[in-house]
Amino acid sequence: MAKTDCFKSVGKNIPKIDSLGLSTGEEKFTDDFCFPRQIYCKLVYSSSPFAKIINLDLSGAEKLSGVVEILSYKNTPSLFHTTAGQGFPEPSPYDTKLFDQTVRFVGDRIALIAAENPVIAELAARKIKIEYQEFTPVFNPQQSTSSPPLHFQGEHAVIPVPYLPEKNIAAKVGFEIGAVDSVLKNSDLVINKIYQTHYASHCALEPHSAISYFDSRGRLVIISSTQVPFHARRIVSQILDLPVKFIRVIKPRIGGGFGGKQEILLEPLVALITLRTKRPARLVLSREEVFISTRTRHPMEIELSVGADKQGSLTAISMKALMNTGAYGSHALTVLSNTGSKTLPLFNKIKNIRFHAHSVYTNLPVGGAYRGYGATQGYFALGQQIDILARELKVDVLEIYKQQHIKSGETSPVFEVLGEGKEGTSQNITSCQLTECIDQGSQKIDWYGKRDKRIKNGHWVRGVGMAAGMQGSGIPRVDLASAYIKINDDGSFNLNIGATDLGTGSDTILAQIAAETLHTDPSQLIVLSSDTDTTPFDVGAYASSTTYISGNAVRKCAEKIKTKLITAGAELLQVQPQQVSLENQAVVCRKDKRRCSYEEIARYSLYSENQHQIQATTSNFSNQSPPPFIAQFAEVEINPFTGELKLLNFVSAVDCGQPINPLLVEGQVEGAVVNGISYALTEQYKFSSAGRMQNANFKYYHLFRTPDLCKVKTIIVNSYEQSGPFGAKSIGEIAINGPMPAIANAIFDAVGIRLYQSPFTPEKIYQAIHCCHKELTERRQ
Amino acid sequence: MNGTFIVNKVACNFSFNPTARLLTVLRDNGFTEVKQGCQEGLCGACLVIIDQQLVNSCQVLAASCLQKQITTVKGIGTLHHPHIIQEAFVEAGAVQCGFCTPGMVLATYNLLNQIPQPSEEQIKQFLDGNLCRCTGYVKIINAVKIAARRLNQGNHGKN
Amino acid sequence: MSEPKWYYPTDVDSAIELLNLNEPLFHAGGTGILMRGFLGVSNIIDLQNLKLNYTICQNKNITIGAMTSFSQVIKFIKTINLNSLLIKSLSRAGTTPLRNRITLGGSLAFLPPWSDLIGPLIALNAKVEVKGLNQGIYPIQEFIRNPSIQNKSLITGINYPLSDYSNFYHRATLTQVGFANFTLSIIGKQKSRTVENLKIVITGTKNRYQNLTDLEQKLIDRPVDFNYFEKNVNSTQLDFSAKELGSSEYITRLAKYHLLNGLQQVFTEEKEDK
Repeated sequence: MAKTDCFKSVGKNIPKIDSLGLSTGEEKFTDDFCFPRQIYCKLVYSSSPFAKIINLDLSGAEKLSGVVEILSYKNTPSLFHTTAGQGFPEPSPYDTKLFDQTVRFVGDRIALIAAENPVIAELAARKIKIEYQEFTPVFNPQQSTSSPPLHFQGEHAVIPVPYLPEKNIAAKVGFEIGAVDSVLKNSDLVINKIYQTHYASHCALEPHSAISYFDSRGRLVIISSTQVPFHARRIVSQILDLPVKFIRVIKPRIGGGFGGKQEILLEPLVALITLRTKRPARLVLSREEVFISTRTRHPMEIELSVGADKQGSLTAISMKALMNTGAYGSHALTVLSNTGSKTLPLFNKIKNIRFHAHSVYTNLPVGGAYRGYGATQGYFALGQQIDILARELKVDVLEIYKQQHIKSGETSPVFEVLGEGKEGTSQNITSCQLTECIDQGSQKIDWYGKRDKRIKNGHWVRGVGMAAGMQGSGIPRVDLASAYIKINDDGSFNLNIGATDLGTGSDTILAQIAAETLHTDPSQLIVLSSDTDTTPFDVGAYASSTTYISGNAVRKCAEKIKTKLITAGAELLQVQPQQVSLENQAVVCRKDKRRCSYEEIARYSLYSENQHQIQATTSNFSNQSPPPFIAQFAEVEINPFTGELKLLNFVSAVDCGQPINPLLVEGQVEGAVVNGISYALTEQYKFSSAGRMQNANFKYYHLFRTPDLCKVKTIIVNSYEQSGPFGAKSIGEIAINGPMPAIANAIFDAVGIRLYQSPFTPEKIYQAIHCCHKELTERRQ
Repeated sequence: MNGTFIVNKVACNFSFNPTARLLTVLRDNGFTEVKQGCQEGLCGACLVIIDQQLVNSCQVLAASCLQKQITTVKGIGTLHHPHIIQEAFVEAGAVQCGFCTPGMVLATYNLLNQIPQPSEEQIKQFLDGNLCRCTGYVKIINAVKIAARRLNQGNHGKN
Repeated sequence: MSEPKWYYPTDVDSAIELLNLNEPLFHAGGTGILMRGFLGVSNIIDLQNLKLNYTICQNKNITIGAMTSFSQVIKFIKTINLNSLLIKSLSRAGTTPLRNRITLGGSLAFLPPWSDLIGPLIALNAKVEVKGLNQGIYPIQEFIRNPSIQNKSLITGINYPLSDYSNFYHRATLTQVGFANFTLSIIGKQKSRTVENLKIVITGTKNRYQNLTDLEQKLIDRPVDFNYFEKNVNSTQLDFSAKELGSSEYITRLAKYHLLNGLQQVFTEEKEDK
């Protein structure tokens, strides 16, 4: 199936091109840049969840020596926009102003202080006096639509989608195929459950940061920790009413994103300070600010009904989702759509499918893009539901998946009806090794040796659980990427790409793809990425798009270079182009094996005759989004007396097509898995009764650390996606979806209880055991 | 106030605020390889070694480090002369975004000085002050093992 | 707001003398100060040069200087008794780099509510050595009860008698590194399957800590009988408020479970007369 053996660069564990620079501290992140006369910015946030500012007294701060500028709703553009870093026109509603007289959550922006140094900025921030006229906030998404509206000043959607701010509905999406209700009514078995997921923070180690300055020609340069430099340029231009040509956005190294930096939050603020003061301005958030004021994983409530016949064939599915988008509707429609579109096609044998979903406003922190993007929430429900169903039917859950998951050559009607902000795109699956993933993963965890065995270890009881799923590879007919390649005198190449490496290694794998096409070594590629002036357009790093969309752009571009190398090489060798091919950094005449190296070709084409620069540029978009597939397995140990949980093993077996760089693929899986585990077990926002996050620090917001780790194993299953660059599909997001349902199913396997609300804290586990199996919690010697 | 610090074996005179954290003073003076991730001593991005002690530079007042030997990640190896540990991180795929890497490398350096052949459990316990959100730690733990093996093979040339 | 001034005395007496300055504050490792902030601080007295960084084991008594870091304490005690309660507790405090910075004295001065230090020190019958206005050697419980001991005074060290009793330490957290919801320290000795000696301290309760003297009394001089232990543990009153791990009822249950577990570990048969 795969042509792996003949690859020279693809499929190899090439070290990340920036990793030595990062290990030695040479590479620069946004906050590492420093400019003479720079101004330090500091934001002031709302302490009220919902209020109108009736008096904003800046006089104390203004009087302070060293305060240069203060921004607030009084002196800034009041254009409605969305902070979501998406393509234009954005599917997220225009409901946000740079600053607004109405504040809608604790952590909403009220003012920005710009000062000579951070101490003065901090001092000035404390001197700002705010008087609020408090409104009644709504924290419960269930009550949102019957509560007073958060947005009532002309907020609007810019694409034709349902947007009802008067009812606090930020987005609405749905479809029905077949006759769900009647089929459910006649099914032998129907499982109906409600699942709830919780708020979480991305916790990229580098806090959000941005710096702006005027270059020597009076253009505005913004250095930003962004996943979307081109969208950042466009949205800054929009908010500040500046021509795009006036702005340059540069992404240096970025300390993790995970979706949290697919958001235009800081760029317009520093830009405005630079515009007003003509000085460099910088804004770097504290950890607390990242928690309370940036973006989060949308909490969701999903009511899921699945019907089956006695043989275990699924008959109908109804998914009803209520998403809490917080105070603003960033990604409110698209995350919601993905909850259905990335889960429902998995069981494509089901003929009757319904998806009805709403996003509602509440006076809580704002949701946004977060690795998994709605699929995480959807699979929490679906992954448990299938396990419940299998147990009710007394069949092996692995068999249900293997028999009924979508296969290569098949399609699902969901692809066509559900897209991101518009109708979807029908597609046939051209590669799917999910059955193989299930087989290899279950073998690794010793599924049949452990399932239903309730192996005891003192007071502790063991269990195993699994979940399987799919994601996508970019957004079809939306995402665009491009690449530029040119040759240098010595036969090396510049590869300029708009794609955004967040630490994922995309700069490296794109070099591998170019090198593979050009029959050269990846080290011959000099990669420059993510600079709106010097690299061609790319939508940025999101939607699991870079390997597939940007990778194909690079491959196509390198193909063009290949043709030019052949033409020039044949000319040099004085043969016909059809008689030569590329081989180990040279054009070789197939007949007599004469060769001319890329260096010779470069010198020839640049200096000798018929002089020209061998160069090419290409862009790429896709009509399809081939999903990667994954099967994930958890083994847990539970103490029924206390509800304490130990995770022992976690296995992921993934079909991501041909891995371009297997080591980096494993890294993506492991990072996503541990984030997913930590989300399932220990991470959560705790709110006060006034909607204030009370644990906005690493002391009380618990990320997994090395001592918490269990054994984490990744298996890359052999697969090849014809439409991908050298057979590749995406890998960035998919692995975060399985931990929550797999662990929940493992808990059931161990102690027979179902947890429908995440996270699975020891007290919740204990209470559930105590409630359902009291005898297990009674102490015996 | 003013004071001398020996950073990576070079005496430096910095002027700083009496309540300034060492992290801020180092970064303000160009040692940006020391990263700021949380300012509460819990992420490990800002780790430095002061007189052989691994510490969070955000939890250390600069005024308490006068005349002390401070080692940042550049003090144990550079781009042109990397330390075995830095090479091991590269090779193992332990570097994704790399924001935690300087701290991870320094913690590894300090660990291997104390325990040249640590068990996996000892590695996990020792790295408890370093957060990483990208790697899930798996490759980082591998990198520590690779580095330990190489250093124990007597390959100390660059140390 | 004027900026504080630093002093670097080289002996204890001059450090104490400096307490006569306006709004003074001692600096040990600095982690507590950064949490506290510098409000109302005009003068910072750095204690690094006082030579209070020492560890001594003499006449079955351990003495540790106030400027000894947690990691130094662990390293030192490991040379004497690998099974020490203090090793178990301090190894779990903070993180590796924080343990290099947190000192015994600083930790006693600030006594943060999540302290991993006070439970074991109470169980070990430790005494705090103080110089200055309130010069003296104070039993740890008295020291905690009476914060005024620290007025114009400096903690110079602690001491406690070396014992070979069995012990148990439990730290209830959501993740391994995380501030303790409660800690549980048990020290016990048995002879001929009879409880000869027992000390139980739980920190993180409503009154910072509870020394379970009632339970100790009920078990001392009784035969080792885990059913009897269980009955008495169950009837013990523990006062917890709700914490991040859960409701007060749940935390109470968790604490009792681990308390009984701990007693079982301390009084297993293998540990008889070791």
